[in-house]
Formats: sequence, structure tokens, C-alpha cells
Amino acid sequence: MYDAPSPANRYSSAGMLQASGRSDQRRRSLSAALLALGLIIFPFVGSPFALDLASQVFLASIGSLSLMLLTGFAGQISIGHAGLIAAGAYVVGIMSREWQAPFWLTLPSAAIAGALLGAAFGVPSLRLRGLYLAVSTLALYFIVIYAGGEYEAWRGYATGIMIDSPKVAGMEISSGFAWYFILLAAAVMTLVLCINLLRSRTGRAWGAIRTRETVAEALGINIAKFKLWAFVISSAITAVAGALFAYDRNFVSAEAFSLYLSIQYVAMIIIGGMGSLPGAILGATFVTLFPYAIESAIGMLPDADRYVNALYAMNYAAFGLVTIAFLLFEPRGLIGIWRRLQGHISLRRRKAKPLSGPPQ
Amino acid sequence: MSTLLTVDRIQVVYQRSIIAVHDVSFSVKSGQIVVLLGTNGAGKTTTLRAISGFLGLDDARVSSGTITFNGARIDNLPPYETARRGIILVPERDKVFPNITVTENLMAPVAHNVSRSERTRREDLVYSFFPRLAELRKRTGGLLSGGERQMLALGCALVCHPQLLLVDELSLGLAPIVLEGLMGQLVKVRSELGITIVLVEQNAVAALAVADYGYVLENGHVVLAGSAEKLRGAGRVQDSYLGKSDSGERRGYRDIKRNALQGRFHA
Amino acid sequence: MQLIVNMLVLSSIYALISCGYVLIYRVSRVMNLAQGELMMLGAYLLLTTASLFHGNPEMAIIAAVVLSTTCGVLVYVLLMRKMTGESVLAAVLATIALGILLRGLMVLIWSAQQQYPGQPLGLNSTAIALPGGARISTFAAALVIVNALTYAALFGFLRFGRWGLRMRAAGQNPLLAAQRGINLHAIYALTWALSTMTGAMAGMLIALDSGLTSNLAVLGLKAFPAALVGGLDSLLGTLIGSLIVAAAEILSIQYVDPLLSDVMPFLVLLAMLIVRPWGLFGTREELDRV
Repeated sequence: MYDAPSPANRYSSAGMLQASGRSDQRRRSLSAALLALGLIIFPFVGSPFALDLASQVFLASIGSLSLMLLTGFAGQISIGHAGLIAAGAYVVGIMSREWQAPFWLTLPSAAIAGALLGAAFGVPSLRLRGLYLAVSTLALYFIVIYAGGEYEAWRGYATGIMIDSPKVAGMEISSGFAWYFILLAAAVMTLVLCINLLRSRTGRAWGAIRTRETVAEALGINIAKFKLWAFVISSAITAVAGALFAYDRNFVSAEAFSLYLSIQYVAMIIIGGMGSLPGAILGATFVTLFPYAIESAIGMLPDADRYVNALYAMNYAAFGLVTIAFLLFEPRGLIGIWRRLQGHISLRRRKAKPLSGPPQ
Repeated sequence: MSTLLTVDRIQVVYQRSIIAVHDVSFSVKSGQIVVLLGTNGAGKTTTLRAISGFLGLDDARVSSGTITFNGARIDNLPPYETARRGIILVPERDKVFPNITVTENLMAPVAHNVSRSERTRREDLVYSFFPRLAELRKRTGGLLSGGERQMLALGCALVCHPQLLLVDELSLGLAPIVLEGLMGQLVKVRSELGITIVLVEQNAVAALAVADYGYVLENGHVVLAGSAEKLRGAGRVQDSYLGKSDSGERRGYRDIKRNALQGRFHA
Repeated sequence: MQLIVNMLVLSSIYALISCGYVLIYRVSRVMNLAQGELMMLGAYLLLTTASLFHGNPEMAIIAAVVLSTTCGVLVYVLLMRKMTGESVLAAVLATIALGILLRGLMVLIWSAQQQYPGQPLGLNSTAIALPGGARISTFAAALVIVNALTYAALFGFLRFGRWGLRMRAAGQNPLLAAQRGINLHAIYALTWALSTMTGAMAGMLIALDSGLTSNLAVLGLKAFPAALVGGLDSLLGTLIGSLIVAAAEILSIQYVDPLLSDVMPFLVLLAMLIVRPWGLFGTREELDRV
């Protein structure tokens, strides 16, 4: 169901990266430029609430891109993603409270911590696949959360660790405006990093491992190295997302990194569309905005006040329902829907030809 | 003798992109033993699986043409539907349940509305055809040898009381003398139980020795059809599958393939 | 002595919940990560039937069991049946999403407060004194007994029953089973029914013993390592795995650190995955290194 990227297929990521004709290239550059312009202008015209929403979407995108690399491209299932976010956040919390470390120390440290933890998460993947690998990541998640909880108990943080906003040249960065651009820049950098990774040898090796591990190994690809590499890189990025998360909220506590958060990230990559970078971003947008959509939908009901208490439960139920709906009816995710629409609208002569006649 | 099974110009497509069977037609009369011959990749196994409904899990389907059994269409039905109608397939691989005993293997397929006495009768019937199995009642399926496993697979098929028995590559991994014995049992099954049999085989000699009628498949097409005698004598079959030429000398695979590509061929 | 009693009770809880995991995995190779929520559903349904059959515990319990089993079958028919043949990640996420949906619905219907299903039925948890100065509550004792009976019944059913044989066959080779006329849909529906029923019984007994909150489902997740340690397709393994995990948990709470209670099962799980991924008694699958 989730096809491997193949150069011949226009709908693959590799296909998307290869421009097919100059008009294609020009059209793509134009839309990219428009998008960039829109993103830059947005903070000046949008409300603070919308700004905050957008920032949350950017932050979520970092995590979902990294999970997409790991699961969507390298084929390694992980449901412990929240553990890595927690790890990054805790690094910031510990370093800034214990040693007053500035952000230009904590962020790289978070990345390194993520990388090391990623290696730990990745070791089971050398022996396990599929369900068993997923379960091992689950176990590791619980262990990380336990460690965080122990730290909080040990240091007496009853309700969590408070963190000051990062300072640059003595100025505190805490405005929604500033964070919008910081998170936007972080998301863009992550996207660029992912694109480059996928174009490299590493990316191709991951594709091979994901589709046919036996064949990949027979072709001389060092499976162990690339699997671990996938975990390490993905976890490092995720930990940095966690660090940014900590600075954004000025707060770190084990409850913020529930299993539900892990599941939300997995839902992001599936709802967005497996094996697609734009899909990761679409999925992040969808899942982040979803609770707010539900809230406004409920607000429009006649007796809105009655439901306020049940809001959390409604979100939960609605999230479960929508995820199931996507799994049943739209397994290719939002990207799948988008490409179908494109297929209908587009009048391009060059269409993909999956049925190219009988093989000889 | 009435026509039991008709396969009419079927085309089978894998994963919406690979055509494994282009255009195959043949029919099988009740009580016949029919063999489908051909080399690897000719589409024989695919055809058999299309008849028994085994295609689904490989993401394949019959995309055009029809398969008719006892007057009703059965193409693209799920496996247990075709099994209920009386078509049982003995597959090439994974033909027995590995972690249960021989007796349990034989009992599992029997439908729940069959009485206990009837069940025992069928089990004894299998042991009468394959006495070796009676000695192995308590052995788990995975521990049987190749020949024993094949016997068990055939036994499981018989226990379902099929009208049509499809056997895929019976000869794989079997010593010639064991194969001969099994082929002989198949003839007995036909004559004593009246079960129609379709065989898919690469071992043309063994298959043509027991079959009434045969079809030769190549690249998803039927290229030759005829009675078993006719096929045994046909130069083409002699060439491609038996490696004999008119002058009686043996020829290698390369020579045959080269000629096949160049020449026309005549039945 | 009390420690041993606690270990016995906890392992019975884990075992009764886990036999659901094992049944479904053995027969259809699906990991039902919504088992915790389905277990909780049983407890909540008891709450409802308890107020319906005021003071009549037998009817209430039977009704709740029947309702839960029906829900299990519905889950298969409406959701899991359509997920057959999908990728591993999709199937896992489907059960997880189902769990989330169920949990949300349960809180919406019954609220998140602590509830006591025993009250309307006039059932109270009393303590029984045991030799060695240990105490066990009536419902905990009932749990141990029900667990033992359930496992005995399951062993017998799988080993000697007609449908049990078909379930085992379907688990080993579904395609072959289908071609031999075994109705896979019926088998899977039956499996989900049995699994939900046993889970619901566990949930009900736990709720009767110590009350019911919307957090009960967490036990389901903690019980999962018991199944894995024993071997996901082995009932005997799960029984033993539950003992091991429960023992580890109780002992670590007692002698090391109470906070370890939630994470201990997963430490044991991780250790098992490193040493012997298919568990103590499970069949060695395609887990081996390529």
C-alpha cells in the first residue's frame, strides 16, 4: 500500500524532486515564492491567536518531519516519539536550571542527547521488525518518562520545571512575533535537511531497506548502520523540537509528554501521507488545528456551555474517529487526496503510466 | 461427460500493473485428469490460483474473462467460497498446517455440519489411499518429510469432498519413485471417487503419463492443446520440455530457446 | 506472605487481560492495543447494568458480559475486518485509535469520576484472612479463581474443541485455512468475542474490588508485557509471563522504589526483547535477523 519511491513514478517523492520540464519548474518556484511571501506577511496581519496556532503548527512539523524520515522513509516503526521530545525538553530544563546554560549550549546538547537516545531506541531495530519494534519503542518511551519523573521528584519540582525564555544579547525572546519566525525558520531548516538527506546515499539506502530489506542487504547495503543512522538523525531533530517546545512554553513536566502525544505524531504522518515530506507538514497542520476546529464546532451547537467540561473527552473521541476514518478510507492520507485532485484538474500530457504493457 | 469447469479468455493482473496471464482458455470435463504444462513464469500457477480464489492476498485479480464452474461464475470469489462449492487447491508451498498433528490437519477442514461418523469415514478413506499417514497420526505437520507432507496435503483436500481437485506442482522436491506412487494414487482418486483433477506440472513426463488431456502455457498464453498422447508425441513439447530433438539427440536449453524465439511453431 | 498474595492477585489480573492479547495475536497476527479500553468498557457496562438490575448481581454481571462480548464482535465486524491485509503500522494504529475513541466515548457517557459498580448491587469488598497473616479481598480472590478457570477452559477449548482446532489452523496459515473451507471471518469474530469477554470479566472484577476510574485502561497496557514475555501466541507462556512481571513489579515496589511500579513491566519487556524477542514459549517467527 505504501509504495517505494521509484524514479519512474511521478507521484513518488523522488519524482516530485525531479522537475519534469521547465514549465513545471517555473510553476513550482512561483508557488514556493508565493507561499514564502504569505508566511512572512502573515504575522503582520494575523491575530495573536492565529500567530500562536501557526507557531504550534511549525513546531509540530519539525517532529512530524523527523518521524516521517524514520517511519515513512526508513521504514522503522516508532511509537515512542514523545519520549524523544521529552528528552530534548528535559535537557533544556536541567541545563538551564542547574547551570544557567544559555540556549546556544542547550540546543546542541539537546540534539546530542537526542542522538544518543536515538541510538538506544535504534538498537532493537537491528533485531526486531514491525510490531515488536513498535513495542520496544513503547517500552523505551516509558523508561524515559519514568526517568524524567524521577528527576522531578528528586529535585522537588512538584509541578514541573520552570524555564526562562532564551536571551539574545541580553534581550529576552518571548513575544509571539519572535517565536513565529524562530519556529518558522526551524521548520524550514528541518525541511531542507530532510530533502537533502533523502537525496543522498543515506536516503536511497533507507528506501531500499524499507521496501525489501533482504534485497538491500544482498546488494551490500549495511543495514545496521543505516537503520541506526535513521534513528539517530530522527531523534536528534526531535529532541531539538522538544527543546524549542520547552522554551516556547517556559515549562517542562512529564505529563506534557503523554503517550497520546506519541500517537498524535504517528497519526500526523499517516493522515498526511506516508513517504511524503509535504505530507508530514500537512499532517502536522491537520492534527494541530484539529482540537481547535472541534472546539469551534461545539461552540456552534445550541447548548454550548454544557459541553465545555466534556471538551477534552470530545477531542479524544473525535481524534480517534478521524484517525480510523483515514485508515479505512484514505490510507494514502491528505497527500493522496491532493494528488487525486491534481490528477482531475491537471491537463498535463505527461501522465504516469503504471500499466506499461506486458513485461518481456 | 459434462463440462465441469470452463476458463474463458482470462487475464490476470498483479498489483494493477503486471499481467501474468494474458489470454487463457480451456475447459475440463467431469472425471477428466487435465494437466497444464509450461516452464517457470508461464502463468500456470496463476491460472490455478485464479480458479480457486487464491489471488487476493497477492493483490492480483482476474481483470477480464470468466471462469465458470458447474454453470456458475466463480472468478474473483474469496477462497472459502470456492472451497464450499467444491474446488480445493493443493498449493505449491505451505500446504499443511505446521504446528498441529496429522489427525488435526485432516479434521480441521471438515465442515461443522458433518456428523462424527461421516468425519471418521472420511479420515479412514484418506488412510486407505495413503497408509503411511495412518502411522503418522500424532506427528505434527511441520516434521513430515516432503513426500509425507504431499500425502497429507492431498489427504486434507480429499477430506473436503471436492468435485474438482487442483494440484500445483506435485513433483517439487519428490523422488521419482515417490512421485510415481502419488500420481498413481491420483488416478485411483479419480476412478474410485469420481473427482476431476487439474494438475499443474513442470515434470511433463510424469504428468502426461496419467493425464487425459493437456494444455501447454507459455508467457500467459495457451500455445498447444491436445490429448495426452498427442502432446507426448508433439515435437514442440519434446523439444522444449523433454530436450529431445527429432534425431534423438539431447539439446540444451539455450538451443531450444533460440529456436523458439526464431521459429514458428506447429502443433 | 502478603507479598505472595499480592503477586498472585496482580498476576491474575495481568493474565486475564493478556489472554485477550494472545488469542487475537495467535489467530490473526494482530496486536490489539485497545484491549485495555475494551476491558474498561466491560467495567463501565457493569455500572449501567448494575443500576438496571438493582440488587441482582448475577443478572447484572451476565448482562454486562453479554454486552461487552457483542461490542467485541462489533469492533471486528465494523473495523478490524476492513484492516486485514493492511500494513503493520496501519493495523497497530487502528487499534490504538480505536482505544482512544473508546476512551473518549466512555468519559463522555459515564464521566471521569470515580464510580463504584458494587454499590447498587449490594456487593461489598470484604477482606478474607489467610494463613501467615495475609489478607485478600473477596473480589481479588474471585479474580484468581476466575483466571484459573478461564485459562483451563481456553486450554481445553483450543486443544479439543472443533472451533478451537479451526482457530489454531487459521492462526498457522490463514490462506490455507480459507482454501480448506474455514470461514476466516467467523473465526476472527469468535476470537474477538472471546478476547473481549475475558478482558471485560477482568475489568468488572477489578472495578468491583477497587472502584472504577477512567484510568483503568492503563492496566491494559501494563499487562501487555506479560503476554510478550511469555510469547504472544502462547497461553501457557502468558500465564507464566504474568507471574514474572507481577513478581518483578511487586518486589521492586517493596524493595526498591514505589515509583517503579508503572515502568517495571516495560523494563522486563525490554530485557526480554533483547534476549529472546519471541518470548519464553512463543513460536519463533520472522523476527530473526535478515
